[in-house]
Amino acid sequence: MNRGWSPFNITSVVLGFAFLYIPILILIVYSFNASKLVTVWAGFSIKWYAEAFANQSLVDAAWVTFRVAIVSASIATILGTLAALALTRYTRFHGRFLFSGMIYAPLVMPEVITGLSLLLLFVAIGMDRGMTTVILAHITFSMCFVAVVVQSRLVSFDRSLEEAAMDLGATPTRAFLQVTLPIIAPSVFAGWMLAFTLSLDDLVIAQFNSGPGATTLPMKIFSQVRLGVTPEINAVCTILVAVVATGVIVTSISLKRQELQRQRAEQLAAQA
Amino acid sequence: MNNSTVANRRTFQPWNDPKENPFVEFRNITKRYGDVTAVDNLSLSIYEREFFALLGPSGCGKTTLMRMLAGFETVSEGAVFLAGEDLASTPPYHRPVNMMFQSYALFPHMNVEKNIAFGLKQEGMPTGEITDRVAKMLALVKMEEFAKRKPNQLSGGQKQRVALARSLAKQPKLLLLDEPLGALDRKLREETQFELIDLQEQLGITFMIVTHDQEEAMTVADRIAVMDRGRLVQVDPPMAMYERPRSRYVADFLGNINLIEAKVQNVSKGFVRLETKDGNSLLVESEASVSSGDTVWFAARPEKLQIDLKKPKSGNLMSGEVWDIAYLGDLTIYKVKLDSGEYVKASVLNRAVSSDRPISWEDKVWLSCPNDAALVLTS
Repeated sequence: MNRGWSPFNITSVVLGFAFLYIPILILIVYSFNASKLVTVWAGFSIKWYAEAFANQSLVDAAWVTFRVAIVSASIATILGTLAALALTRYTRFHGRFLFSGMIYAPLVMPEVITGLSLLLLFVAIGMDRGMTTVILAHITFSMCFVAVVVQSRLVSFDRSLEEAAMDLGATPTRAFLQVTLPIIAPSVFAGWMLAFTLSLDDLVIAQFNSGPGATTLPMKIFSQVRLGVTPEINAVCTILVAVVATGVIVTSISLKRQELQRQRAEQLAAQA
Repeated sequence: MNNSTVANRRTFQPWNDPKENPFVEFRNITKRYGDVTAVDNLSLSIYEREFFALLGPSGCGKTTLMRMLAGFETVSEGAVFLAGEDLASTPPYHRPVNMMFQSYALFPHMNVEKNIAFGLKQEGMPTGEITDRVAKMLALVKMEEFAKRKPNQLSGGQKQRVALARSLAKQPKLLLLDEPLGALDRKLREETQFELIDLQEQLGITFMIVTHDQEEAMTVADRIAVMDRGRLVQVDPPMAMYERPRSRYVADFLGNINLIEAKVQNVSKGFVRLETKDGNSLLVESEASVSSGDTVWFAARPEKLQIDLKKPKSGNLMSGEVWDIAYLGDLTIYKVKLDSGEYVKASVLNRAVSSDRPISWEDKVWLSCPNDAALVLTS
């Protein structure tokens, strides 16, 4: 078979990547623009980064976003992992299909609906909108992503490992903490990363459920852009892109390395 | 191994001693999964220091029975006793029983040493003692040099040894082995079977093994229980099981056997005279409770049948034609088509080195078998 690159393949790859990355590239390039006019290049400068960091309201928003993301990702990871455990372990209860379907539904639910329904709930129970409500909202929608990621790992998890731990005298709790959790840890971590980035860049749901003093970075950016794009915003967005990209790259490298280690170990065993 | 244990083994028959109390007792055990009955009103006693094998095809309930003893399955009806104690309310992590899993179930995130130490840590054993015990276990299974390896850096045979060491580390009173050698290749499996026997004698622990491999059961076990569809079919030492099977199922499951349908003509003084469909008369020494007119099966193992070109003077005789010959090296198996149209196998040990076979395809041959080498099976 010809494994070379045909002109057709090259064209489609170039077009695909261009479609995906040119907008981001433009954003990054213009964040280093010396000019105040966003679309006119006037030489290289990092002054907009300095300006962005000097802008207290932007820094505040970033700080809010970061705290919301950390807290909501952590709680969503715990709840999502528990849901995944229940769904893979107790496969015989009545209404299981309904239950597992309901876990997946928020994945495809329009964000506007999720945001609006949560808003109605908070209003109905008389909860003041602020950081807590944003965190709760983020937990609600990112939990199911965690559940899906962890569940896909648990499906291939050998139950006899847990049984072996119990057979050797570990209580169910200890068996989970000492055997199951360390083994599924990479997928739990991947779930956390996913929840973290989802929370980081969410605008719609935060918009609905936020209150005074709890403006997240996406909300701040969006409201500023309505008054016109400034190079400062470009700088903030570039930082955001860098943070997310770093997270994704670190996760995939660590997963890749784990996989390589496993393969090397298996080769070693085959030679033994 | 010293001589005293060998001598013990020779006279070791606690199941025939009425004064002996069973160490493990299944009392009228039934296990249901919805509408499916996996184990059906089964009672079984296993004695201390015994090497007991549960043998049967997959789905016969043997693994379920073992898992009920380990505590991973609840009992629908009946009770399981260990050393006289009802285990019903004891969770698996409090039972003085350890199990070696079919998949080995080694913890992938711990090295060999930590895997073996896991059970001891749960007990709260002091660190120094754990180190000593782990070293002892590694020496027992000859895995000292692999202490720091992770399970995925081990071969199948090495994993099996680690799993064994881990399940023995807590010095259980009873070790359960679920198809322990199923993942090993044939040669290694045979070696390991003998190592298991030595280990069991050396440690003096009761072993209970689940297997679908009849040779494995016969090699390792003091007694074998053959199971079929949730019931015990026969429980006996290997030799009794092979030489005196009580049903066609057992006879066929353990080794090969020729079965020929026949009618009982008469019964007298421990002898049964049979007549086959084509009118051949056969005399078998048998205690089977049959009466004339019953339809039964004349059963003879291939190695009990002698094959000759000339008509022998005595014994039960059958004549036929050589249909097929399988040369296996140590044995040659002749498939003979009897005059009645039935096929019978006879195996001959190849003692002498010779390139030509005295008996060849399509030869007219006589098969004979002494009266006491055949069986009468009723079910």
